Amino acid sequence: MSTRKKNILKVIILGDSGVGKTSLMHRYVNDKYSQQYKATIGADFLTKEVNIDSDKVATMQVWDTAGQERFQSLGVAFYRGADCCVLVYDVTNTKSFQSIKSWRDEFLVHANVSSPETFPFVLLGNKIDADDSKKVVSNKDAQDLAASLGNIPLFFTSAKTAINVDTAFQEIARSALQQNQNDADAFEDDFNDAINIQLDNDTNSCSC
Amino acid sequence: MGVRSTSQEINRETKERRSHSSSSSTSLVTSLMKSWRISSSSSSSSSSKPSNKSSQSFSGNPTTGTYNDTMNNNLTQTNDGHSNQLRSSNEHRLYSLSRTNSSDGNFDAMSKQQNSTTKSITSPAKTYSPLRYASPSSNQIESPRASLLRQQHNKHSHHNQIYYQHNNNSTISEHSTHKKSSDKYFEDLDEDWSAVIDNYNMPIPMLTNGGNGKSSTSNNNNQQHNDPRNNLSRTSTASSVATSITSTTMTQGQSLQYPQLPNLNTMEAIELEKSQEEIENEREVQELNSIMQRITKFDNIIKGKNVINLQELRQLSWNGIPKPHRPIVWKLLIGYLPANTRRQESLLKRKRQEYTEGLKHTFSDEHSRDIPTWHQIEIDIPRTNPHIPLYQFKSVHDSLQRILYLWAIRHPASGYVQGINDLVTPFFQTFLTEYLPPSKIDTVEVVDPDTYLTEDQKENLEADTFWCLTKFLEQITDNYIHGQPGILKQVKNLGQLVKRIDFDLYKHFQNEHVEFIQFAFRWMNCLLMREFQMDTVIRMWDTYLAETSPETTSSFATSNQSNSSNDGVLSPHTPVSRKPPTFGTPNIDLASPASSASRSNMTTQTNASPAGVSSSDDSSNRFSHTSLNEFHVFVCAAFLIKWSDMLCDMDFQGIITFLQNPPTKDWTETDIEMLLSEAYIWQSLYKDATSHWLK
Repeated sequence: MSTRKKNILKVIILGDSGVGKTSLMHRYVNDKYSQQYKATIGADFLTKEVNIDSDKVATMQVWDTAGQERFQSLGVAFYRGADCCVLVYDVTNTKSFQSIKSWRDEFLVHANVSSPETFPFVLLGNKIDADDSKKVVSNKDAQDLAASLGNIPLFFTSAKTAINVDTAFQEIARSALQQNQNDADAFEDDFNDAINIQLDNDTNSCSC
Repeated sequence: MGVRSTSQEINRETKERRSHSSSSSTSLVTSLMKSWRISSSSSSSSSSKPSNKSSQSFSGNPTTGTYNDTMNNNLTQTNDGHSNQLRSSNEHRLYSLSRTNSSDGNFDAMSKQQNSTTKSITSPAKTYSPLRYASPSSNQIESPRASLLRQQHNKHSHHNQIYYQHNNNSTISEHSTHKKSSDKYFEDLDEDWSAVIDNYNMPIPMLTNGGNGKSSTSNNNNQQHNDPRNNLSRTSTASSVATSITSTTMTQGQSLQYPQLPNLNTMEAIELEKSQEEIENEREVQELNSIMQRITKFDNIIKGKNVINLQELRQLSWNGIPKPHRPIVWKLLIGYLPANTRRQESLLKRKRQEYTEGLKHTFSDEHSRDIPTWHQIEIDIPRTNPHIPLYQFKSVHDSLQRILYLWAIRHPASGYVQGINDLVTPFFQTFLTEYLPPSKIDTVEVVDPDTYLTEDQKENLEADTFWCLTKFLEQITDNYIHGQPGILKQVKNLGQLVKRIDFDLYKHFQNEHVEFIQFAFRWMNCLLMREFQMDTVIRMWDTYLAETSPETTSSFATSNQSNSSNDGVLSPHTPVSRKPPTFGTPNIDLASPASSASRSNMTTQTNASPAGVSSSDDSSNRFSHTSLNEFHVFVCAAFLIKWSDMLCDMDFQGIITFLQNPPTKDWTETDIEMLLSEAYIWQSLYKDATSHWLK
């Protein structure tokens, strides 16, 4: 195990166009905010070294995808091998909230994950720095949605003012690591089984 | 130039590996292309960069071993081609200085030549270098002085040939023999490559030409041999050869960062005595002259003519369009303005009126707003070119919103797709310069158009932008319809191309699990606009519009006119001396958006057919049949392979991060021109071959 490869956690950010996916990613990775991001085409890619629970180190590879529906056919290329999927909506935009479920389904269809029921999603309601008058998605609705999607973690964030961004990504990293290790364990179990069969055979042949 | 021994060697190799002839030919071309890449990339780097880099990357080629000699020869040969190319551009400069009415004053290296080099194997002017592209027009109008210069040129080539042969301990034999042997060699080649060679005159013609130039050589040979500058590109690229050549080239301190132009013998003796400063001044004067020359040439083509020669205009524009001419030339190249100047005014008037009416109709009460589209455009416009002040002005936002929304409504098969907001801006910005005095063209990115545009002018600007965007996107409809098949195909083709040009890189990507779609999707969707600064993008579009203009579109429209219920919206075109192609993208009919489905079908056909159409056509007409997507893939390949050495040392994360943000911030027009010429060369080498595997 000492030679074990450093953990790479692949995280995908999904959500409607303009909800702040790129801003969230840049806030988390570079702790910067800008009004000048261009619309994402295809997907952007950033990485960050993360400490999880102060004792585990991993590299998080974040794919920030394009929000426009037209680009959804691209999904396969970017979703595959993901360890965690982040669903983002804009608290000032009802439609972006309504799209969450279809983004999740879209992901599950294309990502080809081993067990869709347990695959980790994290829900983020972004732009909570906005005036209350502009907020159109209630916290209650968001909590209900999170519960209906399998009690997935929910955070209200602001990439602009950095509220909750680090906390949210800590959770994302933890879920991703968990998923990553589950997959690895599943692989190892298979491997052990194979060896056991081999040993049994050996024993049999010796006793003959 | 080592070609002879190269071909002998290759011939031997080929015989030995007859069963693997395709693999050996592939390695030949790979090494050729690799050496080209290296030569260009190392000449682009500052002269302090050690030249052994190229040898390093060469030894990394999997085809070393028995191929070593061959590859060195290839390298040499290609580099010579390169330096010839450079020399020739210089020669052209001189030439244009000496004659005010010269035919082609600018970068000959990039000027276009497609017409049947095969036919002219015996013509020294055309065939002395495999990678050189002489403008056909310049050959036709060649002055005695130019041919004299070219002859000297050929002598050099010939001399190099001898020189390298000595290096390789080969014997010199008759040229005819060589031609024969190389013919034999090419017979052994995979069909694809013989096709390539037939069309584009690979090493063989150079050989023949070496023979032609042989008769009166020796004096100049020595001079050439001793003058380091003439060996420049060789020195900086082929380290195997570099050892035998003084490396003083590096200290010449010529200020041009990108390919340094070796000087001609005739000028050398004089120039050596001059101080750096004088040389600098002279260069500036030359450059200024060259610019003036180009402006004059554009004037000659555009002004005072009843019918503008689009073919000529296209050839000239490939090397860049002077800023004052750009708006009108773009409109001509893209097929918005008719070549018949007497019809231009009425057409503009009608088109602009159509746009205004289209707006009126779309924004009238009876037409319900497409909210998702409107919203998408609305949130994208403030994010369009956020670093350019021009795109922060309210008036510009409003204009772009109108243009994009109208376009989206009129093209329901694709609708608005993110990235189109990028593609509209070069047109908008370029056409805006029409309304600025020439001295203020450079301020276009910072001044609010509202301060100098009247309402009428603004409408005209919007209309022109709208129609040219429409024409432009017609060529790449497949990129934006559902599923974006055009882009997926381009990405796939890019992969195939890189696999053939730079297998090391391709393999490395595979090992690192890098998929082309992960970085190249954006390259296709935004035509590399996200990768470059606006001024370089605009320069790039000069070439794109010249290379790929939809002549097919207009011809089809003309022949299709009777079928249209509303001929008012068809852009009338003066058919140039060109036979109408079999396929074409139909003109987008403003009045019948419902026809878009059949339209996209036709576009698919167009994309699939250009090779077939052009092969049946006169080769000088090939310009009109290159599809934008096709050429763009070659540009992307050139762009990617530029970084090949670096990328091969990176892991997945490094590669993606690098390609998401390539170091192009300081790229100048010269860098872009280099990229475009590389793309063009690759297209020339692979175009016919690609029809077999680029499906």
